[in-house]
Amino acid sequence: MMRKSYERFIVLFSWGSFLFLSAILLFIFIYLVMRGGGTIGSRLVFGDVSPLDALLLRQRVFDGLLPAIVGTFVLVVLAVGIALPVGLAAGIYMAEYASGWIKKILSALFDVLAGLPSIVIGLAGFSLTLFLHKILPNRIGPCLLISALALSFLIMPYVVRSTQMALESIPLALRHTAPAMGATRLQNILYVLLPNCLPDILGGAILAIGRAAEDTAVIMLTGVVASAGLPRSLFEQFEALPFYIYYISSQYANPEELQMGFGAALLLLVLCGILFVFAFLMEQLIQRRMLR
Amino acid sequence: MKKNEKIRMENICFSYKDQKILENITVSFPENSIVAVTGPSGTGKSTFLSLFNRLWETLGEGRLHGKMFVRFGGRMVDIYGDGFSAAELRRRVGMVFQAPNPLPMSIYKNIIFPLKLAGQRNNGEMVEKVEEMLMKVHLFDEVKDRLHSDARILSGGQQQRLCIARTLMLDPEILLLDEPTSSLDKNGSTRIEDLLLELRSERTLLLVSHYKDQISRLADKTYELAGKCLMRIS
Repeated sequence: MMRKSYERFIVLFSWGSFLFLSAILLFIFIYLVMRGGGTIGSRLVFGDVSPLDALLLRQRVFDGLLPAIVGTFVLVVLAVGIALPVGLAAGIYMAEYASGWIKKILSALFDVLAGLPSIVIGLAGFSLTLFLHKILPNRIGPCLLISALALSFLIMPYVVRSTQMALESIPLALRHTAPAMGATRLQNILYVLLPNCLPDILGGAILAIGRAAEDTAVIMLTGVVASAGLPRSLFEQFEALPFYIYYISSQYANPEELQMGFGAALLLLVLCGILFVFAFLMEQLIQRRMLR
Repeated sequence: MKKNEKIRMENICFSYKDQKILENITVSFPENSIVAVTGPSGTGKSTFLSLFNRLWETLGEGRLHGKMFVRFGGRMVDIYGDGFSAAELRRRVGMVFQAPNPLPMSIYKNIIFPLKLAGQRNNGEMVEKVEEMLMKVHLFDEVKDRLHSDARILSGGQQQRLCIARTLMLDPEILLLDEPTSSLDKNGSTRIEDLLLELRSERTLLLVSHYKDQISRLADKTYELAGKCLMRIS
């Protein structure tokens, strides 16, 4: 009897937690739509400039969010583009090659890296900028590339850990299948183990995308500014949505400006959604190619 | 050395993580026969099988003493001796596992996978060989219209026959079978047993099994692994 009510309590608690989290998520989303939904439109993105002129780079957008949207998109793609291959390789090393005390030390290091506050990584990026500025005066300063590099260090532990855990959780029977047919260790990793844990690796990549898109502390110290226009090269300063949201919500002069901040938050969600869908489609494409 | 000897083990001792599993085993198995190994759970039957294709080496932390010879091309070869790679050995000594283990790819790709590993290119000959192997394991009629479907949608028995076909693609001289019917129903088991009897005429099969009735139907020789030793029981 006691055990039955205990089990019922656990089930109810699980359901309650799920409903509580879903309700909070829904509340945030509805609140954002209510506060910022009215601003969504071409004026929020392009300001007073016609969308065609802005997209064809005929006119610069000053009071719209286009530069921040493009800046965020390029920043996230660059940061994930750096973190994904390096993190994947490090995860493979941790799961398949590292052993003994080396594995223990590296695991501890990745855990420390995962737990580092983003402002510390931003500070490290800022120090790198100063160092590069010293050896290459007037040629390099806070810029998109250094921001992306610093962000990639912030998100890399997610990719490393998700790859490592996915590889380590593969059942021994599947792990032995290819070696029993004469596969080398590398062939086993490339043809069997990695394709088999693709969904888990993708999960890590999606977490990384979300984290890269929302972080403000890192980019604030390494290259983002309130007004820079569309990024023309990797070595220039840029605008980004999370910084715009932070900036406008702390410095707004009237309710309309604050409303634009909520609109920017909605746009950031949409941008993340597009990147998640892209990552999902990539996984589907790879799995379909494997079957063919 | 006996004329029809296929495998010979001399004073084999094996330990894993400093725990002795096999001690001083000396035995030989004839070619074109089914040799069954039985015994209580946890005595190291699967480990015993993994000595023949050196698969235990992938786990690390194991230690082997003694000599193991297999007759390849008319001469006895020390499979742990210098110059004989594990990959080459595993192409000549195939293995079928306890649970069917199709790879996450199509039926066709699963079957040609060992050839791909061996560096062969997908061509017309390969298509013919796939058909031949599927016919050999009596699976062709069941899957001929869906060769490019995911192999994991097949039933357990079909998956195990697919895995046997995949193993046979490299034409191994020895087949290691680690309780190949334990996850199948009676019908599926009977089909696999019939197939093993067909394969016996051209290969040496080492079968680990718990089922006494299966062993009596299939095995030419039966050994029991108990107390780290291998004993002939029939």
